[in-house]
Amino acid sequence: MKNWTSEGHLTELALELWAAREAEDHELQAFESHIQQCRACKAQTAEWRGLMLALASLRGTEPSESFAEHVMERVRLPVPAAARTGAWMPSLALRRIAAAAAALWSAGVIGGAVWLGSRVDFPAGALLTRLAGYASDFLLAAVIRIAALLHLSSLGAIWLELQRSVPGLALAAGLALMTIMSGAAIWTLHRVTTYQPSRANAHG
Amino acid sequence: MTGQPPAAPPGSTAGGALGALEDKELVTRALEGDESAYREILERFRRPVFSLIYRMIGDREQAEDLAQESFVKAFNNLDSYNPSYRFSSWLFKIANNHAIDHLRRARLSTVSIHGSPHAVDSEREEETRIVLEAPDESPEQEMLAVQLGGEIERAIARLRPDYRTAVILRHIENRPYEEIAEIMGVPIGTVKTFLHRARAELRDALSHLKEEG
Repeated sequence: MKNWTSEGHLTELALELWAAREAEDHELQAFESHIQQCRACKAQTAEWRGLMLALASLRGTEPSESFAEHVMERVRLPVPAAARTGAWMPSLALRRIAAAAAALWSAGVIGGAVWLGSRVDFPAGALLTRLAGYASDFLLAAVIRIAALLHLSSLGAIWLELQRSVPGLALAAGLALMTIMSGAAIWTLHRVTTYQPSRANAHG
Repeated sequence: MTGQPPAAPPGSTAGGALGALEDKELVTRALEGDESAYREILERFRRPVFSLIYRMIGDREQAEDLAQESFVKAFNNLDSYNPSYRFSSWLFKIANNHAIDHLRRARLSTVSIHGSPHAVDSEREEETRIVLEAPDESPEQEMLAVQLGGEIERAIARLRPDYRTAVILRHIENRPYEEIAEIMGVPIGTVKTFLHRARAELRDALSHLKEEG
């Protein structure tokens, strides 16, 4: 324990800390019992107590009522995350699931094409040419749609808001999208594999 | 020696949805562009920040401008706030630096009596009155209390700026030693020294009241 006394009396610092209640509990108790027994120290406490009382009476001052508005007028608010381009994209975990699903879907489509191709009497070269034609059309359409979506980033904000308010909406929308795309793929495969050259051309 | 625990955090919007959030959570929301988070921070800290600057420089109008500038600077640089420190320390540091810079520019070492925060009108005078522990004080004690309220303000205004900052943060804003050290950018031991010397000066400044009384 620190030496809080000098010539049998509490030091000025000890009296100050006692008045401010800023010493350890056991030290405050020791100061208190000394003050109760020592007239000289008790007399010394009056000024410190008066000071602490005066300090405790001080209060904060309110600024003007328009203070907050004046501040906010000059603040550059960050662009909300929801409004930033690309922020409407699903979370990283969801993107991984989507990528895995897309890979599975692609494998299924390619595998399906190969399987169907082996079951029909159709020249492989013509089948691939036909598929490439459909694929390029489909890719072009997709690029146009994605570009439009990126430019309409406000749609992303709406989407994010819907995601927040409707649980599971992203999953449902993803499944719907996969179903539509799978349907389109199956329909494409059907069109390609059931293609028959016209008789006129065949005999021409 | 330990500091008293900090008092309840500065006022926040009563019943507001953001009122229960920690300061750091509010900062995170603000950085996401949530305007209401900025307003909540303002609501919590406008009084203590303004109060600190007002007592430091003693001019209400200039204090209002400086306090606004402090908030604007803090808000526009919110991404530079380090969450490993208290947000209040960071904000008070900006405010205190603004006040100190102003004092340096104006070469003001003391505040005039007329500039004392509680001397501008009768309402402020009322605020300075000492709340005595004994409810049945005599008229002489009441007079002494009012006199003491004005005297302590004037005595604080005469302190060195760094002593003044330490006294205001400790005794008006109830900040712990650690936070005062963060705000002032000095070790805790220096804060203790500042407070000890400032209190000794204040006690001496008020001693004549006791003698007169």
